Amino acid sequence: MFGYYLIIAFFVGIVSILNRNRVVRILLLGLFLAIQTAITIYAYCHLNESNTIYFKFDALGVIFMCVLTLLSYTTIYHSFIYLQHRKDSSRSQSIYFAALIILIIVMTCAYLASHLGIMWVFIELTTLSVAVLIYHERTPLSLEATWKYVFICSIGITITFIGIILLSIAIQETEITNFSFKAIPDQLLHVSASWLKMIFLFMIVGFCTKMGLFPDAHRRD
Amino acid sequence: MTNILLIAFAISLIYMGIANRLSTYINILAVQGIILFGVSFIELIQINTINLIFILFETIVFKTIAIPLFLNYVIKKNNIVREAEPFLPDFLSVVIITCIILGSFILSNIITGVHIQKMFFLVAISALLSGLFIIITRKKVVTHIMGYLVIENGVFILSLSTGNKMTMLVNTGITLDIFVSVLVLGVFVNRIGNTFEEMNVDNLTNLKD
Repeated sequence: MFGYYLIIAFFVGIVSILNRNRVVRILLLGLFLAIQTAITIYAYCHLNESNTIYFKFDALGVIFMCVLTLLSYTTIYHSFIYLQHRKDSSRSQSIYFAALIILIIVMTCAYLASHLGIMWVFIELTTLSVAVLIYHERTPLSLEATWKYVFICSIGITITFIGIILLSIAIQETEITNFSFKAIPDQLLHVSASWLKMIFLFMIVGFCTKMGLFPDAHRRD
Repeated sequence: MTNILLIAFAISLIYMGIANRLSTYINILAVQGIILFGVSFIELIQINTINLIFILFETIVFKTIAIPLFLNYVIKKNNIVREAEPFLPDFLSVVIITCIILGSFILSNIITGVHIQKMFFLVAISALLSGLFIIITRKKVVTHIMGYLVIENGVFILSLSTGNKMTMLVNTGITLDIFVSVLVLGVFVNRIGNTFEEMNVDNLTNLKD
């Protein structure tokens, strides 16, 4: 089911890049919201079942997914009015909505991923799609914001990747190296505490940089 | 042999501290690509051919040829001044990078209980920290990308030390990182060059709440 969701939703995203017609755009956005709502309801009904190898409907992920789905309604509605008000060209509207759709899909995947590497890949993809959204206005200020966002997020995600590599070194000694969240704790039983602390440090610094908690990526002064 | 190459990599980091011209930075990046090729060629010789070809392609074609050419193109196209314009004097940069290498040497010797090749760990951590140092002490936007690429090289060395098991993860990670670093950052550097007169970080301070 989740695989079908991914295929259809990405297809909608790609079609909305190519589309130039206003009516078709509204239909595509409606279709996407319907798919997103359907997968959320499906996930709620199948709580704690792993769907494909890399995705699992765990409870925490489903809570965040519900919030995301609710927010995606308001966000898409608001963006629609905002872009109409700005009188943007049809092409830039298409790019904006495609990036927005892909961002929502990728965030859903990041919430539901049950594999550390896959989660990292999807978090990296959010950086790319958000960069398109920030650069929508094409002004010097938005260019500056995009540059800062992309740069700081890439460095943060690289630091996280170092943490993941160190984790893979730690669990390398067990027979089967498995990176799913369920299997990681069992494999860490004989790893020394100082090494784990270092992994934790890298990951928390990296993810917090990505979220904008540490440096002034989203600064207020 | 691997150790010699890794020490050469660490020396190239120190050299980056005193390098004055942007072309020197680009040459250092190319040399680092060749060193990475050597290290991966020695270390990963026994894994399957496709992965080996992939990694070698990445080091030689991307890191040694494509990225330096691309950075050269960016510098020429935007008429960037050739000096690196650091905020700190060169001498201090060298001292700080040496301290970074010394610190990671001590750190890698403190760690016990995990089977890791210490030399790889040492060089990777020092590449990470000196990359961050280069980013925060240089004025130009292009040198920021160069510092980021040094961090990428460090990640590559660290991933080599995991050996043969996690190749899928390592390949996806490195491919994505290269994609982000070169494509996206390159595109935006060109945009910044078109929008502002000089590509300094001083121009990027207008964003306020």
